[in-house]
Amino acid sequence: MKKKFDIRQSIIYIAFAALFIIFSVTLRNVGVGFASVSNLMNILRQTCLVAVMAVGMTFVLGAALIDLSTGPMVACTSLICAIFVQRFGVAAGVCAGLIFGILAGMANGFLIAYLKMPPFIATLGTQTVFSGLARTMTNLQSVPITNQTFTKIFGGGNAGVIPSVFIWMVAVIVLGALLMYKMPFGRKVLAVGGNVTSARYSGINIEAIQMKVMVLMGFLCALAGILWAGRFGGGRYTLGEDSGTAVIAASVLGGTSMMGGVVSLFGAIAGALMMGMLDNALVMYGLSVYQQEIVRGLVIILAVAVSTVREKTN
Amino acid sequence: MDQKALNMKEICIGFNGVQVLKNIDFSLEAGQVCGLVGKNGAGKSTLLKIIQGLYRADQGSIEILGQDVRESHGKAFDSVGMIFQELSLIPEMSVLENVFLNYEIKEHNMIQTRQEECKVQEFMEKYNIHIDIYEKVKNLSSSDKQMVEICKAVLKDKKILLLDEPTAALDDEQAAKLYHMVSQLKENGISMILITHHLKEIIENCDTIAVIRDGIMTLHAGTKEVTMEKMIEAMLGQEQTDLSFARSISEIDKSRPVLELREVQTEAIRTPLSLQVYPGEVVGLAGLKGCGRTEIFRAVFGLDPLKSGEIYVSGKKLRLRGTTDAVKAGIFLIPESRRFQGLSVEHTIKFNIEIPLLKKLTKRLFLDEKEGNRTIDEYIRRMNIKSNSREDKVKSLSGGNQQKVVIAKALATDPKVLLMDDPTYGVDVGAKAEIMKIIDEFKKKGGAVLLASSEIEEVNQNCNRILILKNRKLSGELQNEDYLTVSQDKLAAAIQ
Repeated sequence: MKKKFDIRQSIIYIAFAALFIIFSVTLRNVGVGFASVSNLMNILRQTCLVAVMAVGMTFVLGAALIDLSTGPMVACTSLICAIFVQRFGVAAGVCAGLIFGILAGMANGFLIAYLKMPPFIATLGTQTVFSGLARTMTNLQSVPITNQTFTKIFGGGNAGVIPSVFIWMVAVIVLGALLMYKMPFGRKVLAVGGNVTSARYSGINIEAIQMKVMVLMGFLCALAGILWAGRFGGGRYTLGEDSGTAVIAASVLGGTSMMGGVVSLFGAIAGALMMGMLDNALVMYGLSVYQQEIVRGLVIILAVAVSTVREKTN
Repeated sequence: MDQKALNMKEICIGFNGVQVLKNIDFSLEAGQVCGLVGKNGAGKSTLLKIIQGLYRADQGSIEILGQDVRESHGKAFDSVGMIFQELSLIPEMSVLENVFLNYEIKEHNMIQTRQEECKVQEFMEKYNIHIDIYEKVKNLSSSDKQMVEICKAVLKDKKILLLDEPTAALDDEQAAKLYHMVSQLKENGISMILITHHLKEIIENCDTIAVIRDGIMTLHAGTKEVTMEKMIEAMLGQEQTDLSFARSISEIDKSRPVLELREVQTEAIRTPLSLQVYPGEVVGLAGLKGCGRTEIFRAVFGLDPLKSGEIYVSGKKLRLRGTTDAVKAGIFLIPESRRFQGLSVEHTIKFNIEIPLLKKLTKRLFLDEKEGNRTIDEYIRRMNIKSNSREDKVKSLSGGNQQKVVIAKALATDPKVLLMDDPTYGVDVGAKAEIMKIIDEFKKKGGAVLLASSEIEEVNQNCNRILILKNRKLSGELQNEDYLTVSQDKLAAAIQ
């Protein structure tokens, strides 16, 4: 089916491999070494959460929308989940977290699909709201989770040698890929993102698709929030709060177009892994937190630049 | 002063080896209004673009106000102003700001608003226009916007104005106001070229008439010497287009319409509108631009909500909350613009045709790729879509083939009613005939078609019945059972 090797679609995998080799060589004597099993496992654990969200973001960008409120949604969920786990147990905590995510996604979807607000503005607004919510909910206090079952299943524990977050991530990727590539929903999302008028003229209910996409994003943010709470052993208003830009960057790095209609779900995962790898390496290079931010920002700019060039030359 | 405003001699131009204009001689006196007429694709807009200096003629000479274009290195074109069909004003700016946009009167780099005001007020008084110059352009009516456009051009000292379909968006009263202004401009020595499909307006308002057909000027004479009939003949010629397949003529069963509109009203259609389309029937909607055909399609396809009235498909009353309901009921629209409405050009042929089919192709949650591929390949073959494979991106196809993808997409949903809004716009003759053949086959199988086209002969040659539309109202009906009863000029005259 594929006629020729497409450098633009594969650039993420090439960059991924190149960075991996560079880091492995230059950082082989720092600590346990970059390429050591324990360090790679560490990267994987950190990346899984961003990857889960990147799956959702792929649908969002595919439909030519954007969601800036993902980070604070994660933080809110971690707190809500923690409060409910402590009071009513694991099931209640998980349910409460997921329900929050779905409601938050519905709020975003409602603003975009039915009030016809530009997604950038709408989610910029909800981002601020959720961020404030996460801070006021417990007056900036963390909520520890003492329930061992919860932390084992969500994020903290291992199944054999495999971290449980990894299993969650794989499950999300598989389901996301089926939804995107094998079920009608993915096609409809891309049709809406590719040309919204032509999609409407094809009988697609645009508003319903936009709504569903934003709800899916909210749901996956909530799942990420629950996993974060499991890994951290509690909820906190800073958890995942600044992951929003990383998630968008991961998707765009992976070959998903900001203009909609063109996506790469597996590319987004590679993008997320690359961002995780980069974070890890920057720490190992001994950069301060603020220096790390500079580099991360530059990488995001580079990602968008590559994507813009990609669209122009297309 | 016998100096001509515009004098063009032996103008030829071609694109990609296709000759678009052949040996065109054209001239315009100062203070003269010329009506330029011709079918779509005849070469009218190419000629206008040459006059504006946007295209360079391959051959021939152009003099503007006695100045040879080549000698003046294109400076002569500065006296030509285009009044755009799609208005070129910035909606959020005031009238005053728009008029002087990029030509601000400045002293020491400061905009001299007072002087600008004076100039505009002077113009407004001279032409008896009442527009608040501080109003934002977006709050003006279409006709006022046009006045502002003209003001902008005249204050820039343009001596030749080109007006492309200036009355398309205007009602009768506004059009009268515009033509009054045209006559005033004329008195002030400004020449104008006017393109419109309203032939009556040309006869009433122009000094001379020029007709272009297939790149040749078939008529260029004073209005007094020209009749409506002569003009239409020069426009259409004696030509028989090569749409020469045998159309199936069958008895139409008029017991139950497939599509029926009863007293339908929307925001755009003010007068209640009723029509029926029977199985195996192609009904044409004929009328000028803005006659309301697109609005009828929008209502039937669920894009504009009904204010009153009912729509029935095969006797069943529809509840249209959106296009989803319309498609479900067996209606499919082939929209006016394939690029903006019909297709997602960045995607493949397969992707596009499958979008409305997703439900049909889904088996137990998953898409049946094999079934999809089979369907797509069948349509590519049947419709003769020229491509390498079903995975070709739509944007890599030619216009005619893109349009075939749009039609394949519609037919694949197995509709009962096809709404076609200008289905052969910008499509070459060969593909046009193929598309019409496909419509004929669809009709033979009992489908109902509502067809609108900007080319009257297309409506004439393909419709059993033709409804005449004027000002978003049905104003007449022509029977055309054997495709011969209605003559071209009769139809052309009927829509005027």
